[in-house]
Amino acid sequence: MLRFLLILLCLAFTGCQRTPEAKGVLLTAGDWDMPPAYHGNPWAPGGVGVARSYVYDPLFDYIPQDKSWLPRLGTKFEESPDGNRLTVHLRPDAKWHDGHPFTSKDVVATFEIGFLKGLELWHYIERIEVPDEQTVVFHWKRRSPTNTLLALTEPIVSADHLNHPFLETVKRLERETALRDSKQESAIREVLFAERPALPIGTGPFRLTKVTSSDMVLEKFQEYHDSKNVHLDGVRIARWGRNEAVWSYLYAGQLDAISPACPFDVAQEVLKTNPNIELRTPSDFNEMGLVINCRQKPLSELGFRKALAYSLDRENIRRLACAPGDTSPGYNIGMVPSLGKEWLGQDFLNSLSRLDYDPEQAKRLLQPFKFNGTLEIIAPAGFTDLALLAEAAASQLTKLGVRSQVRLVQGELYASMLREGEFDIGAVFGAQMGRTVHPSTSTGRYFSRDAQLQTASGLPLDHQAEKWVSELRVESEPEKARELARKLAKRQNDTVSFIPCFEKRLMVFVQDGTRVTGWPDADSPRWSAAPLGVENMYVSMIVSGLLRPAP
Amino acid sequence: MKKALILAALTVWVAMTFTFLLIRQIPGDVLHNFAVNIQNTQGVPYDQARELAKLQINWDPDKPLSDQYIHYVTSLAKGELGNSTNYRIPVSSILLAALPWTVFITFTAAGLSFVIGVTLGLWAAWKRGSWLDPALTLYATITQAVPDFLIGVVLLLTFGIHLNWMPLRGAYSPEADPGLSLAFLSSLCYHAILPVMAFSIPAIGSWALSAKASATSVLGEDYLLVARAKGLKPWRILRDYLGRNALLPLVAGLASSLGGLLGGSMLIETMFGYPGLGYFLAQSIGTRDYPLMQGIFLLSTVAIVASNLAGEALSRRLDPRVSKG
Repeated sequence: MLRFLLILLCLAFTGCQRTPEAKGVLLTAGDWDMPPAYHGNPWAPGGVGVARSYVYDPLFDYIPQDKSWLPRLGTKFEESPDGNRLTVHLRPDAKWHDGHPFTSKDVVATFEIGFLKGLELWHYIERIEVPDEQTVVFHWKRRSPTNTLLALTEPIVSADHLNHPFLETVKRLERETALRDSKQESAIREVLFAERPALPIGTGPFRLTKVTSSDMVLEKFQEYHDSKNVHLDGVRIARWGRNEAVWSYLYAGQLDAISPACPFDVAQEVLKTNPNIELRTPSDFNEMGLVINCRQKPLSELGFRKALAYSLDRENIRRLACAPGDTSPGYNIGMVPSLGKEWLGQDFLNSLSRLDYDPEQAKRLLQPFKFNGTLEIIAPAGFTDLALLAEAAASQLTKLGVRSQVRLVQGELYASMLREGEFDIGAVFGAQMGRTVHPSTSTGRYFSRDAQLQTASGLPLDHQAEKWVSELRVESEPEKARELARKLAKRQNDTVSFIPCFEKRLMVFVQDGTRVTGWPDADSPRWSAAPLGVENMYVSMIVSGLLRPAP
Repeated sequence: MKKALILAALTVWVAMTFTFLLIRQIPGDVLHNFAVNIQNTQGVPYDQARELAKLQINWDPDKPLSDQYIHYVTSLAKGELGNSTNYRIPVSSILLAALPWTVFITFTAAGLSFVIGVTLGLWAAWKRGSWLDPALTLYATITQAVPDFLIGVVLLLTFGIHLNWMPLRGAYSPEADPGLSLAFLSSLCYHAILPVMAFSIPAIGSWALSAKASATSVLGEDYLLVARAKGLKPWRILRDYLGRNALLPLVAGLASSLGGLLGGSMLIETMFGYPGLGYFLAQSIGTRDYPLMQGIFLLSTVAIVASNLAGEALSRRLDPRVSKG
């Protein structure tokens, strides 16, 4: 045994010579299923993992701040005057990683297979037409303000030549909701999921060449259509695993771009130790706060809920849980505050009742309830910002005489507890604008049937508000859309079932000058694309030629 | 031996049934997350999404427990462990892929801790009253009290981050292609150092104390007096007389303990991004992947029972007095 151990030790010393990390290779982190579970089918559960943004191209990238479009597989697009058609022109020189040319049929393949996976856009698509190999026309059965964004930013993941026989089956499926056969769809979906290629094939700027339990290795795709703009040789992705692991890698200077939830002191330590690392803090287009279980007294009483809202010093909570974030005002408008003025107008916002931090008012409102129990605030374990939010809120409520304690709940169990109402107060994401950056997405979280915040609150479904959400989804007239958004904001603000605490800002750490250089300044509109997918934003910067190997 | 085998099979069956029932008592709804995912991606009502989820994972947790148990046992009898609900591949393929990694680090750690611990324990017994005696007790007390994942964190911070001597994650460098090459094997061993240390550090103290106790019990034996009287050198007495006799119960203990190690350590393997059974067990608990959980627990049970049998057989072979009673 001793000999065996000595041999192992010798081998270990031989392995000590560490591979120098190459200039021009971007190091980041993310998650994927470990081998042998890993596979390259983008539609099957767990497929492709974090490599998705690097391996596949969308038609265009969208920059929310200046509402601009950057061409990827598309070159230009136009909407018909009546808004019923979207025509997209494609690059003639794009190729898949297996060398096959990219054509309009591949766009159709992606959206057709996407139907099976519930691609939201199919609520609006009537049909997709391909007049030639470089043109795609989307015909809408319903106009929606989000159609163009969803169609143009969807990654094109399915090559027609690799999915042809399967596509024929999918195309025959009934699309009308009332006529759909869910069992037949499930059976076809199983066939789709059964495909498990070892690695994905895309048209993106990088090819995935190796996947281990700890690392993904991507190399530059030499035949990429915009190859001259891609100056980096590759991307190396470390397994995320836990936030603490990512903080360690950051601290050790082993990441060039990453966006973990991170306590302020950890961020300060990372920045102090690594002078090359800088922080960018774009809005995440979501708001964090506390959802209240209104099923039982005293939380079912509006007065008690208002008292809780008055009790919370949100500025203090924000400083602890998400230092770069923006403190929420004392109202809840069903969308992130940074978009409130644009959508609702300052006059409307001024007219809303506000529940700003006011401990005296809180005490007055609490008095009649004579509450002497203990409130439990649950938070999902592993979500650093939500856990800190819960801790800060519990401490403030206790100070004010409402005994509160925090319970961290394992993630999968957390969703089920919220749904079943097995909690008093829960730390959650409130308004989330999603990929659409549209209030119909965020208000849907409060008013749509089975939506997380609606079921968590335990309040009866507000049918009128649900109808307004549906109307807002398809309302293309800006003033009418604003009016609907105002009605929903007023309704949400009056229920006080959710107390917003802060609009989250991402903490994007970028290391400039070690392996890569060229990250845009903090005030660049480019960072506003982060909430649409931070990896996609990195890739967008790479294919635009902004990032280069460090000198 | 026949009786022992029957007893072992009975133990496996009881443990299997117990874990089957136990994991179904874990709070959380296995269908819920699948259903929410389907609801979000396919825009169908929750109840319909739940029905679709049942079809998707090919398993209905709403069925009576007895039906589920019968299904499980009959599948097992056919050698089928089922499909992982999360990864959607056979549980057996996950076990086959993860097992060698766990065996590699846990068995290496067991061997290393045994050799170091027993050597220190024997030496402490031989040199009774020296500084080594209380030092060993203190070391064992501290390392047994600290959770192994915390030891892992300290190792990672010290050797991985501050000193930058060791890799922070993984089983081998992605630059090394798996195979029987020096580059791969050396990378494998290099990446195993920290996880092996995390497993070994607490175990060394435990083996040292056991070895010390075992050696102390044979110190007064006549054959040691004879050896001393013959003027044999101390190291020879330690190795050939004291060591051999004190080691007998420990070797059997080592064989028995190997089975228990096969479950891996969820926290250590997750922390080091190590693709062993512990990592997959952690994932399966998180996603309520019952078939995978059951598969790993079953493997651990069988391994523990088998290693106990092996330990017993080894004891009989090494020390004929055991079989004679």
